[in-house]
Amino acid sequence: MKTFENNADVFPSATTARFFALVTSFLVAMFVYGTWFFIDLLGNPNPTQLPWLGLISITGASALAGTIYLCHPTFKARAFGQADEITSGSLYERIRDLCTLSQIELPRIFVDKDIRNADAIVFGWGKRKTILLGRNFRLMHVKKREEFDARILHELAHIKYGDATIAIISWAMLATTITLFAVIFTLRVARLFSDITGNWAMSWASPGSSWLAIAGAYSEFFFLNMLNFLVIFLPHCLFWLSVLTLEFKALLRVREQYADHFSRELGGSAPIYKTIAGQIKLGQSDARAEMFSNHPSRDARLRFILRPHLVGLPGKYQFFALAFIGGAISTASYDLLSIVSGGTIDQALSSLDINNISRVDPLLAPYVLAALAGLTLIVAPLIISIIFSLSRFCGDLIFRHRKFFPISKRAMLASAWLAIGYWAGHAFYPSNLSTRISDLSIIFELRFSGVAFSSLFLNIFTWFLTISSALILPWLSKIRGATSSPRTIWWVLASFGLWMLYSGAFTVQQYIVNSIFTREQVNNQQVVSAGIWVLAGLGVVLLCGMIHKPERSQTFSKATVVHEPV
Amino acid sequence: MANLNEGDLGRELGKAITAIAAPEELELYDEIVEATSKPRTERKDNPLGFGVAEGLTSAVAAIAYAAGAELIRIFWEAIKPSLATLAQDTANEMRSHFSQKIKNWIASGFKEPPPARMNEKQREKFVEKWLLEATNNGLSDTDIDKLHAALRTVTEHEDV
Repeated sequence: MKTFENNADVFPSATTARFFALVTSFLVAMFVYGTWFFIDLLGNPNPTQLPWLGLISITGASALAGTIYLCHPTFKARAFGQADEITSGSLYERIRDLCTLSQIELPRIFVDKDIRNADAIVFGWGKRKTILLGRNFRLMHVKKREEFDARILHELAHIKYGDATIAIISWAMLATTITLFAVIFTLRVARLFSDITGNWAMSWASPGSSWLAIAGAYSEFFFLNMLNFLVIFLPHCLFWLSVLTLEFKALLRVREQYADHFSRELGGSAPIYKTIAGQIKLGQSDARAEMFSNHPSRDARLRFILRPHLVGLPGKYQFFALAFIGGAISTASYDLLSIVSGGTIDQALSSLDINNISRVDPLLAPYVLAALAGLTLIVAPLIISIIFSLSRFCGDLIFRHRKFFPISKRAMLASAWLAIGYWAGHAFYPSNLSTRISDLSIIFELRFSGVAFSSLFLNIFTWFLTISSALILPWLSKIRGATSSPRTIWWVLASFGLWMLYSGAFTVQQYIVNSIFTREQVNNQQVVSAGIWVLAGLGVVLLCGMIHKPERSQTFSKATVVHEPV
Repeated sequence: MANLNEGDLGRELGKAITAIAAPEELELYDEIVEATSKPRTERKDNPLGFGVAEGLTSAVAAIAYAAGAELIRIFWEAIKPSLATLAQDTANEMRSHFSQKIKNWIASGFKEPPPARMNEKQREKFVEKWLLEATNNGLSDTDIDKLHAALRTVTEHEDV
């Protein structure tokens, strides 16, 4: 009955795309905010130095993440408080037997002092892996052997599949990002207070100033700067930390599913099923639990144990999160492009000034062209992972259960959900958010600014276009007589299609706003090129719909639905 | 004075019940009892762990300890009216004697008659309450059966 191959290569996107997304986000954040750090430290460096400062930042951050990874066994060993190493006894021997069964080297085994703790973690670098058990495992060992084996096999899977390395490196990257933000925060606060005290001293010396005037001037200076700090800096921190956390947790959850599967393969489906089903606290499946927890919800785990081919299929909230990340990263790439093409950081981070940046024609400047190609390579896999999910969503839930969904309403809803998530990623990107807030504030002030209205309107129009395209995609995929093609090509094409569509529409929008309302000189060539991007994007999306054959893929055919084990 | 021993006696009785119902848990009995008296801490969802887990609920020892403590309390309640009419010194002496009687009863493996009387209804109610508690705490059917037998052994005696 067991025809499912326990091979990570079967589902390359499930882990690889998530890890790649995390690494990419980390590198982007380190590049952009590393330059912030150097600006705070050095004053205003020459714009041409910024790419190099960004690269230095990436190097330093990678070194810090590596150091955290190397040091992690020291503090992970204390995760459960005091613990003792065991080297003999029936519990030790059972774990050794399970290691032999799993074909992995016996890790060091520690047991903590809390009899209530039935959790276990693995950590360690290289071949020096450690498994830290809660003391309840001793009780479990004598009372519930099957549950004990199921849990231990789950942990051993984390060692066998290299999760202990991947997850901890990912965690180190997250910790490094937090560290960088903390350093920038400290520098900015220090500078703010330094400016205040310095100016105070100068004013004190100036003759003729009244106490009231000095106090008024300084309170205004302080609050404006503080407001600037809160509105610009903190949203950036929160946004990027949210994105990295989402990606980190998504990576962890998919590895947990593989670990459950490993336990099922070696220990049978009933023990792991019963163990998870008995975890009363894992039953939540709300947005927070689905997007920010380290483990999938209990229902999701049970579903995966019964139907392993569903690995990587995200829940509705995870689906939204993936799209959100795609939108955010693609928007961030504009900032990066601005930096490498010679704009200043402030210009780069303000979409209001995006057209004032002295851009270099990508085709003429090799390093910009290289950056553009690199960014495309970064963005494409992200969107591939989203399209992968969309494909699974359509493929599994619709085409495998066609009789339940004769009209692909669910696929269309999923696509719209995807597009909305992608839009949210773009809209909540800090610099765009400030633009939208600015537009809204102008409107609320009843100034009826044409620019503000049109900017909002065109944003809505752009995303209407994108969402409409996303809705068309599953519909087109049902055209009779469509030819088959490798799914990978479909993913790549669909990703580029959406990306081109988005980029072109965004650029057109900017130029329309500028030409109509600010009466700036418009470069017709750029408008034409943007229009071509839009048309090309639409064309690619349509092409993807035409060539995608909606049938069970090879991946699905490898899986066998397992019947209820208990 | 004698009430000071109530906790210890309950613990000892719980251990004796555990020895009958789940001898494999005896090694961990003291730890389990200590843990029951501590407030529960919120478990973290550790990365690369198994998920939030609370394992103590599956221990027979925790139920046995609580049942033992209640049985001792019932015994003390039973002799309370007779102690109330006695002088202080005599009452203390009686309490001490009663504690010793309970200890001997436990030490005999419940072969000696119980130190106080429980009628049939009380007995049924007591056993039923703790079996329900065991079920609610997720004990396996086998464990519940063994606990049932142990509680019967402890509470039922011809010479009550």
